[in-house]
Parts: sequence; C-alpha cells; structure tokens
Amino acid sequence: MVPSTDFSNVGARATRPRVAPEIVVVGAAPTAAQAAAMFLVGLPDHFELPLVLIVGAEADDHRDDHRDLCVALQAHCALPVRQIDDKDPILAGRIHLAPADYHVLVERRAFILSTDGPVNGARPSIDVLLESVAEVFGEGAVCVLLGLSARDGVDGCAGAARVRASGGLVIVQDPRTATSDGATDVASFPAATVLHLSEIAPFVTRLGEAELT
Amino acid sequence: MTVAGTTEPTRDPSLEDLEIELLLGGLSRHWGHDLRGYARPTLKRRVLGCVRAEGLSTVSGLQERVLHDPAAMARLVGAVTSGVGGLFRDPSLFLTLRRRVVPLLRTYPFVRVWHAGCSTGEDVYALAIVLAEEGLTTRVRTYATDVSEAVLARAKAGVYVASALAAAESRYARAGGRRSLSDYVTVGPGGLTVAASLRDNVVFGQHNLATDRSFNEFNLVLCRDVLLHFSRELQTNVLALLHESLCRLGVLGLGARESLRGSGHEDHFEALDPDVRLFRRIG
Repeated sequence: MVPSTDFSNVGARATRPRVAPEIVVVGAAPTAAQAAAMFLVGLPDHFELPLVLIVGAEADDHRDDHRDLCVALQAHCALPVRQIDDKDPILAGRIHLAPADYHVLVERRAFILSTDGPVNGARPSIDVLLESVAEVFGEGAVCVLLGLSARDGVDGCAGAARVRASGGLVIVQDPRTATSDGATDVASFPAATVLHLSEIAPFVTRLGEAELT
Repeated sequence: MTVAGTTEPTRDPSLEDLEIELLLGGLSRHWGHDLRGYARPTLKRRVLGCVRAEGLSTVSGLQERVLHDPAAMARLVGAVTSGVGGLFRDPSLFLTLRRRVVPLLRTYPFVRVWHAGCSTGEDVYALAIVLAEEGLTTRVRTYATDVSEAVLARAKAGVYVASALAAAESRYARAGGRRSLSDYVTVGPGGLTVAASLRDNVVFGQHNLATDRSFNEFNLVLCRDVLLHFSRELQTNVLALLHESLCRLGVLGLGARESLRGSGHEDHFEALDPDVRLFRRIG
C-alpha cells in the first residue's frame, strides 16, 4: 500500500490491498448526499462486493426513517438499495443502507443493529460501523469517505484510522472534486488513497473484480 | 457509553473475546445473570464501555470487580441490557396501531396488553395515550415487564428529560395524536413527568425474556428494540415465547428495524402493513 498524503499524488493509481477485499463501507458526511449519489451511479450492476452506505445526519435532523433516502438513492443505482434490518445477512451486489436512529455493527455474515447512545452526536455513527468492520474483517475492509473533514471528533475519522491500523484500505475523496458538498481534508487522513469522486466507483469495482481472479 | 474511538491502541480483540467469555461465564455461575445469548458485537461494545466507565483497563479487571462487588455487577447488567427511550419512537407504528389495531381491540370486551422489555416505559405511556384518546382505557389491562428492576423503577416513575419534549411532540403529531402531548405531561425542575392517570391500569413487573415463561395470553404484545439485543438463536426462542403469549389474531409490534425474517416464525404471523412492524398471529 503506497500512502499518498501528498497532493501531488492525488488521483494516482493505488496498489491493491494484499488480501481480497470482503466488504466496502461508504461513509458520507451529512452534506455529501450528492457525492453519495454520484458514487452510486458509477457502480455497475455486476458489482461483486457487499457495500454498506451510511449517510451522516445533521445534528438537528430527527428523521425516524430513511425510506425516502432509500428511494432517492435507488434512482441513481443499478444495484438494489435496502435499509438494514437487525440480523440481515451481508450480501454481495447490494447497497445496504444504514437505517436512521440505529448504530450498525457487523458479525462475519450479518448486521447487528444497536440502540446505544449517539457517538460524535450521530446515530448511526460512521465510527461505530468502521470500528466493528475493522475488527471483524481486518485487511478485508475497504472504507470510502466522502466529504468528510478529518478533525478530531468528526464522525468517521477514528473509524477510518482503525480500518487502516487493521490493514484495511481507506479511500478519500479528492478535495478538488468535493463541491459545495464539503471538502475532504486529505492531509488529516494519513495513508489514505485519494481519488477524484468520479474515480472512486470504478476503483472499488476493480477491487471487487480482483477478488474473483 | 458514548465513546467510540478512545480504546487503548494496544488492545487485542481476540483476547478481549476470550475475556468476555470468562466474564459472562462468571456472571452466570456466580450471580445467575446469563447474558451469553446477547448479540455479541453490541454486548462487547457495552462491556468495553463499562471497562472505561469503571476506570479499568481490561475486561479481566472488570470481571474481578463484578464478581466481588454486587453494585458493579448491577451496573454491568444494567448497561448491557439497557434499551432505548423516546415517547412515540417510530411514529408510523403508533399511527398504524391507532388506525388498524384499535378497531381490532374494540371487538374484544376485555383486552390484555403486554409490553415485553418495556425499558424506561416510554412505549407504555405512548400506548396509554393512544388508548385514552380512543376511549379504550377502562377495558384494557396493561402489563409492562423488564429484566431490570432498576429500569422498571424508572418506568414506573415516568420521569424523562424535559429537553426531549419538542421532538416527542412532533412524533406524537405524526402518530395521529389528537391533542397536545403537553396535555399528558408536566414539566418541572426534575424533568418531564407523565400524568399518573396514564398508569392507572398498568402493572409493572420483573420478567426475563431470555429465561422466564409466558405468563398469560395477550391481545397485543409490544416488544420493540429488544430482540436486537439478542443473538439469532435467542431471538428465535423469545419469538416462540411471544407467539405463545398471543391469542389467535393477536398483534405483535417490533422495533422499526426488527423483522421475523429468518426466525422460523414467519409462517405464524402476517404483516398488518408492509411498511410497519406490526404482525398478526395467524398460526
């Protein structure tokens, strides 16, 4: 893994992880729902990995249900987008959407939902999911962060560090392609692969195909 | 329990798994609290939260403390089994209860309701408000149970944080509320207190879904955001208990993201509404 914390390397092809990826977690900042849609539209219908999407909620957002978000995202995506229910199996070729107001944790084959209190003011929390995924999947974990600025306490940063520490792959959106959605602060994500928004879906797709060969 | 990223950098997850096995074995053998059927990822997160809250550094340290100190044991069991609060959490379920289940309940001369795993009691009061507004209070007897006596005491008291009122008021309106939630609560320095009349026909009692048996037959059972604490195996057993506790055509309400899929009980129930987790016993 060649880390690229340096902006001259933005968009560079990253080396593949040593172990075949098993699961992809996409964490999007509350302001990055558009980026999430852009990412989803880039995924082909033969995408081969399980993918979990978690869209952060604004602090004053008290949505009880992500049914509308699910429908909105489905419009951009060739793969089925489904809200996660407790104990749902982790399935390849599907967008598992983290539901409103529950944390998502994982076992090897299934999701476990939790009603523990908010973390970083968020439920679901990207950190909680990533830490669980890092522990269970280790090097097989791939994490994509969209529109997140990596300050201490920003949801997703600690989790991404855990994924990295467990040997997984962290991909962040090139800030030059982050629009008003909010910029990813690349310098704060050491050892992350930095890609243009439009390159992330093809890159993740190739990771999945590498698994097949 | 709100810290995610502050665990020791040197922690060894698989050693922690072993320590947790030992902790749960000790808790069961010494105190008779069997938490081994709880969903492990959530349980582990909560146990590690307890390790930090107790000012300790390892699960083994927590084990020593809970084996020797009943208060620490009670704190651990309380933390691991604790539920979620919020009056009218999942408003669409309460709206469907009002529109679809209340008419069913009206057909019975006498109605029994069980809140299985009532936690701090918000669902008990939310349903009591719906039943009062629908004029059903006098013919309904409600039984609210939880594994934890401490939690039951809070449910009985019916005192909640006052800052939650605005969000609850909004959920109450979306749940088809006919008045204002503030008609049913008083806000004072101690927080928000629900009207005592709402628990007139409510019996609170200790019951452990993991180990205790069915204690009656009910027309409506609400067991919301409880099953998700349990492993798939324990979920299946608890669903058998809930099934046994429902009369024919009785209604079961689960949490917004809990389902019967893969539980082996799918054929015993039919969904009342595809978007709401209310199921009628048909077999």
